[in-house]
Amino acid sequence: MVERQETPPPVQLGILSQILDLCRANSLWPMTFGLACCAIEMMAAGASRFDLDRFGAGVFRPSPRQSDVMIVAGTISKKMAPTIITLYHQMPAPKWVVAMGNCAISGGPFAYEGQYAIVNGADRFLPVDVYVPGCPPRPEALIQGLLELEDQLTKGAKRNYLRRFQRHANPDGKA
Amino acid sequence: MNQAEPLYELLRSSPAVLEAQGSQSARDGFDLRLAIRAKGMPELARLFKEHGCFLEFITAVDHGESLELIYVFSAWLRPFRVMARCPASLMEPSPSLVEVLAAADWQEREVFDMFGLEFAGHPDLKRILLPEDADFHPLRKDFKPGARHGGDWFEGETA
Ligand code: SF4
Repeated sequence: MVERQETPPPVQLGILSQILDLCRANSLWPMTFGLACCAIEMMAAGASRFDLDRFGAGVFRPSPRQSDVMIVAGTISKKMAPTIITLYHQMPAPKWVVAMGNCAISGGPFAYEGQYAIVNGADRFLPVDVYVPGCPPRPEALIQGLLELEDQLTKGAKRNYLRRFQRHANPDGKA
Repeated sequence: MNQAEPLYELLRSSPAVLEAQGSQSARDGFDLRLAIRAKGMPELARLFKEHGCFLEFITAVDHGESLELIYVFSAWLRPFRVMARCPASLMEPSPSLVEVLAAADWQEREVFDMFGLEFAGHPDLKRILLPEDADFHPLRKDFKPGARHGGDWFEGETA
């Protein structure tokens, strides 16, 4: 199990750290990284129709060194798992993990007794922040998962001032 | 079976072929089924390659007492698809096709991974789909899932 790496900043910046969190939340850079069929939906979410760029999360980076979100989209085979751990270690902190699809949550259709090739879920070895269920989840579900992650980063939807959909932040509907 | 097929006679007369049986490709997907000698495959592969065919895949079947290797070849430019079967053994490696057809490289590694069948002359015969230190061959009939199988455990978990 890889531990979450949380080193508190050497200097507490008060309100500035909240601004930094807001900036981080609205410029998530996911890693270009797909493991199975769920990755197709992730690509659809990034393409023009669903357009993850609207939420600042559309800059898929080809290198773990440049990304801060790992979207584990698909089936984790036992051969792939050590590589995923390496990729996770290569990402600079702060970093977050989204488990997309039933395979990455719990093994999905491959979790049965006596199977020999699949790891039952990303949270067996990575600290997962958001789970997006579905087989595969629709792109809207992934978008909701990423919005959820953004709200986690700003420690509450109310403080995510840049959030595009205000209804969730203000349930009474006043903008 | 298309009688104008140039490979038909060549295959019939090849010493590597024990039995050639034409069949209806519309019904079962193959124009020709061959039973061949265990050592004859590289020679046949060369013949197929010279006559515009490519290797579709290699697989194997475990019949319990015996194992069988299956090679499927197709032609690029004409409707012609052949299945060739030959007996295989865990004791004695079958000849590798990599010298003749580079496409056989990963296919043979997969057969080795799943069935434990070895290929003599393969440049790099190691596991391709399962972790390299796996000690089982899952498509064999005698494979019993044990404690090391299941989704809770994987190599390098402590890394
Ligand atoms: S959850 Fe379903 S769609 Fe996603 S990778 Fe697994 S099998 Fe494929």
